[in-house]
Amino acid sequence: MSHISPKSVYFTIFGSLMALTALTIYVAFQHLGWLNFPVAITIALIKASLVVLFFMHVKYSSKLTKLLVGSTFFFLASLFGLTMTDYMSRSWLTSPRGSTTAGMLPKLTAAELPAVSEQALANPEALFGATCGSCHSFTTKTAPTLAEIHDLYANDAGKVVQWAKAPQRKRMRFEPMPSFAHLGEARLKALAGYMLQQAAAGPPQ
Amino acid sequence: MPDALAAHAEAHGHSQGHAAHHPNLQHHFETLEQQKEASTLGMWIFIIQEVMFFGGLFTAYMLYRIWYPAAWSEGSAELDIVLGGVNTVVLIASSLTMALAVRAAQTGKQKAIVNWLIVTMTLGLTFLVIKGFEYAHKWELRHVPGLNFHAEPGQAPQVEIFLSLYFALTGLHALHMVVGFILLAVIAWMAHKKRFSPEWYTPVEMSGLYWHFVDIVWIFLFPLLYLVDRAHQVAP
Repeated sequence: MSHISPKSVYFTIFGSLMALTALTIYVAFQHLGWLNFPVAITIALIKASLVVLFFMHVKYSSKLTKLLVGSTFFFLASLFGLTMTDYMSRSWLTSPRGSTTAGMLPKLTAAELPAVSEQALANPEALFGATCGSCHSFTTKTAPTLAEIHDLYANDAGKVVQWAKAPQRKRMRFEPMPSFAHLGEARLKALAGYMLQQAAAGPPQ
Repeated sequence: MPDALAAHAEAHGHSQGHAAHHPNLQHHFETLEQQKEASTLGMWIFIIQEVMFFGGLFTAYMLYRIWYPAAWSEGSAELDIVLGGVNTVVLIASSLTMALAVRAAQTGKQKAIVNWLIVTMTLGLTFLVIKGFEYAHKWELRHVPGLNFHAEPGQAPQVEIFLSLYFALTGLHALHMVVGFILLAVIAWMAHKKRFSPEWYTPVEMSGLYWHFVDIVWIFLFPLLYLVDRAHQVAP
């Protein structure tokens, strides 16, 4: 004979489920920032556990059944975990300089910026690598490629400078680009010129 | 074929024919408990694959929610919390009555099994009717992706993705409700015919597991679809 729960247990569980439903609606309207989502999921998990343990009698089931039910979390965690680690890290791998996405791009401090001398501006390769080049290359998938930029602005370095100072967001598949206004007009002009020149030359063979 | 019957009884080692064991005990099981344990495990394996089936859609949901938070916020705001909330109460109440139906089977109260199952089915039907009203309203607003979708001015274009997932998830959930309803109708008929006893009520219990599983899916769907970023709508 299997375990027979008294009716009071079922009514208590039902009452708890109702209270938790009210709680999840209440919490959804509170300003908790990023915590809103984990809190909602936690409440749902508690509700699901109550149903599994008491309504589905797993609390009174054999160890084998408990193990089987517990394994659901393992399978689901594999599904979510493996998929998410892939999707969430794709942009890291395709950045030419490793784990740089636009949002994480370190801002060069004034001391790190090369001086605005004619010599430095004539060959801005290093500066380009530390700024624009960390996202924009010929093969990048996290930002428009150099070829794409060339198609848009081939003869208009001014537009590139303008964009770098106050970037907008045209393509939702890319992270938003941060502003590079802090580099100053002279460096931005040099960078824009260098970028379009590289873009026109095409990818290295 | 009396010879065959006799041989059959002989093979199973009960000289009294079939009178020696419970009529619902299959021959490949030793006891009713063992048989029930096997059914329970089988049912749970089925439920786990159902979890993975919905899990795929939940994974798609998570990915797109991370990619398009604005669309998720705007899309969720289109859904009616009152109808979704009432349906949550209705479905959890149906889980309670389902649990009481199984309890009636355990305690051998034949009439109560049928009655609780009918209450459960009525609540399930109520859920589906409310869901139907929600779908009809979405149709009127031309918010059904693939059939008549029409973006509201100023809305993030990916709201269509949110609504696609809304229809895929709630649609498949509703389909499971329909299957559950038919299942309970069969069980109620069997209970009416007094097929169950405190020694053997496995079909009632297994249908109960299925019904509770469908309830659990909704417990996750409600906050994930109806309650995204609602804090936005009230002043801080």
